[in-house]
Amino acid sequence: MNININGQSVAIVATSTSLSLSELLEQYNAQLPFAVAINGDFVAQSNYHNIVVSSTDMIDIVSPIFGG
Amino acid sequence: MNDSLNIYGQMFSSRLLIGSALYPNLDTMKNAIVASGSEIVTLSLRRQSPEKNAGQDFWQYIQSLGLTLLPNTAGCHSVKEVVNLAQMSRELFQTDWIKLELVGDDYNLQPDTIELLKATDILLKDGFKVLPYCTDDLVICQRLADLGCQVIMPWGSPIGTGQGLLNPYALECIRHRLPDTTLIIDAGIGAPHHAVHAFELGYDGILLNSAIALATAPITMATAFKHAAMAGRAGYLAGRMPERQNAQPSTPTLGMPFWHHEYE
Repeated sequence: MNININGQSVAIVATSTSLSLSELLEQYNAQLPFAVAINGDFVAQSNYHNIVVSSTDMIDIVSPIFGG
Repeated sequence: MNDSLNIYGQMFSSRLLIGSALYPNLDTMKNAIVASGSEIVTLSLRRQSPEKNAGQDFWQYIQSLGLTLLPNTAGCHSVKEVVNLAQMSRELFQTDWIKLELVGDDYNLQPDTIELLKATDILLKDGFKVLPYCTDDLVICQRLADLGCQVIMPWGSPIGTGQGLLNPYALECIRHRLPDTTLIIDAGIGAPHHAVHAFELGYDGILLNSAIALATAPITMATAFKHAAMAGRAGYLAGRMPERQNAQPSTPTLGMPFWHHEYE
């Protein structure tokens, strides 16, 4: 299925009937360190395995960047 | 003399907080931060691009400095955005400090201080140590202090303008009315004398980025700001002389030669 990740439609393969956030992050090749929000809501790292992602979700994966 | 900057009970010898953006390259960024003597560096979070190394180089440079991190919420326009970005920052950077920025107007990037109060309340109750970026509005600063902010950061002038302290009267009022709050000028500092001015008004610190990063020689400018902060703070602590309307000679007039009283 295609999922909106960081503002772009990304093809993700669900290996079972449901796709967990941790599977999605692995397929996206997210690089540490990062933090995640789904539909604008922060998701704690401890919940990555429990969260099921759907094709209508919008995922944000953020990393450190310079700032003032 | 023990004269430290107090950020929520944590003491720092440097009164400069420095940003990590806009430098021509990472080596210059690192060397300028070191030259400034700052112990606190600001940074942010943005969407990761795995194909672009996900910002790994920047992160490694920042980590190698071993400084205290102050993540910001730059670019956020709503309470929901700042609260969620703050939570993401806390998890990723392992800090409960947050430099709270909530844009109210895109023309001058003026903070939305009404929504800022709401967001500050939520985050303080969630255990954050909030460093809110706000305007030089005394009542807003008082409300932020009432909510529990131990640090408040009014602007000198809009972000990136380098215009210095546009309203010293307002800033002085805030200092006078909030004597126990750590006050930091955030934004608008453009030259070392602006820093001196801020400290002479009694401000506890300054947060700057563009003034150093956009200088012709950023590392030299960082050194200049280091000395400016020390000079301004020492000048404030020393207590300046009162201003006078009329000239007063500093050299004694008594015993001045060539003057003779004329006897009639």
